[in-house]
Amino acid sequence: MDKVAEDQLNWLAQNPLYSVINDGLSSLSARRDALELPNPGTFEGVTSELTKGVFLSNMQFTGLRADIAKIFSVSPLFQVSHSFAMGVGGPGAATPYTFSAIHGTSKAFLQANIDNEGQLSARFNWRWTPKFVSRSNIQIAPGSSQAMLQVDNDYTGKDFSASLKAINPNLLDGGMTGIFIMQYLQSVTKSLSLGLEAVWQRQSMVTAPEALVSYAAKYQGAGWVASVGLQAAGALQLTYWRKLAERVEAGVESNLKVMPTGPYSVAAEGVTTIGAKYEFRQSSLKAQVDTSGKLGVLLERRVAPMVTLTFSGEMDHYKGGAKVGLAVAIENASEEVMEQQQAAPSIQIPF
Amino acid sequence: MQISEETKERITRIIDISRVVVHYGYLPLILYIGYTQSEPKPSLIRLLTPLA
Repeated sequence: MDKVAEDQLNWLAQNPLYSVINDGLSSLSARRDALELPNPGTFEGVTSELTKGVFLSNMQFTGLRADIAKIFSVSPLFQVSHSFAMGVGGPGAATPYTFSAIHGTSKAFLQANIDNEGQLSARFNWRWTPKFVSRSNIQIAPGSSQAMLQVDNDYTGKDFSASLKAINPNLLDGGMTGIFIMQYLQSVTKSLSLGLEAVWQRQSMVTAPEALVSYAAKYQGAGWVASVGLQAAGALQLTYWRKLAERVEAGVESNLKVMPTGPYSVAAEGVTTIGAKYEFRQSSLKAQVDTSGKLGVLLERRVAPMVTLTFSGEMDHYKGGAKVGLAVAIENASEEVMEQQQAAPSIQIPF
Repeated sequence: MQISEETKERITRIIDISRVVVHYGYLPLILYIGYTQSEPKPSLIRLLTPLA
């Protein structure tokens, strides 16, 4: 029976059209491999050397903070941490107490944070194949019927990266609502990569859907990276990052927003930020200053093998405001775990 | 796409229940998986209190 079915289907794989297409595709992929283009990184990570490595972006905080982390196992990773914060107010500030647990293997990554108000932030990442990772992020507040769900699917190809995201997708309102983001970054030459991001969003069925497209280009030289990003709303972002010495990095970012205010007039505003990062043997210093008058500093110092002190300061010269934060982070691992850490094979956790 | 009211209600209920399950069950699940898979096993008191 199987033999007969196979014979009947043979014509599918043996007709001339199929072989022409198949040969064409394999010669195309062979030529593509011959170019030996590197993977360009992700679309979101086009500026990451600068914004994550040198700038303070999300690392600044105010008030006092203490983090106590306990590592119970390295492979698989299992860590529990308690965070305490004091004297912090305003929206987006850290809550007085947060408990979090992390478990990671080379296939899966699980993380949950719960604060004293009962708000849960959960992550679950799964690596299907070495190149394909799905990430999900759920935020649930107690007593509310609202929750935030985000699902990312990232594919890291040989010379490109593609990702598809969905935020709060919903089909129950009689149509599709939510935010959908598609990102693609392709290496064009060994140093140049070009990318594009498309966003489709519909808040509810009563509003019309919106679509936006952003573009990015990144040029990677020897020890430096330059990038240009053009956002759909008319914002232009230029960045330049350079490794000045083995432990010194510096960079500049310029954001220019051009918005039409009338038929013949546009409003343009721009902010330029300059930052530098020094790494010493026991500490690291990040400093940045921007044209809106903000000066920020972050100093991290390892005072003992498991204890890190962090000082964060920000001065706003135009508004006359200042923020100061001091944090202590204590990592706690038993001797057996420390030994295990040295002996364990490194695992690739899909963070 | 047309979904009947009954199915819609059922899906909404499933989502509501799973939200509660994730809210109260996900953190204990991680602690359980981590506890059973780590070697050597940590003591429960060290697992839950910041001191000790």
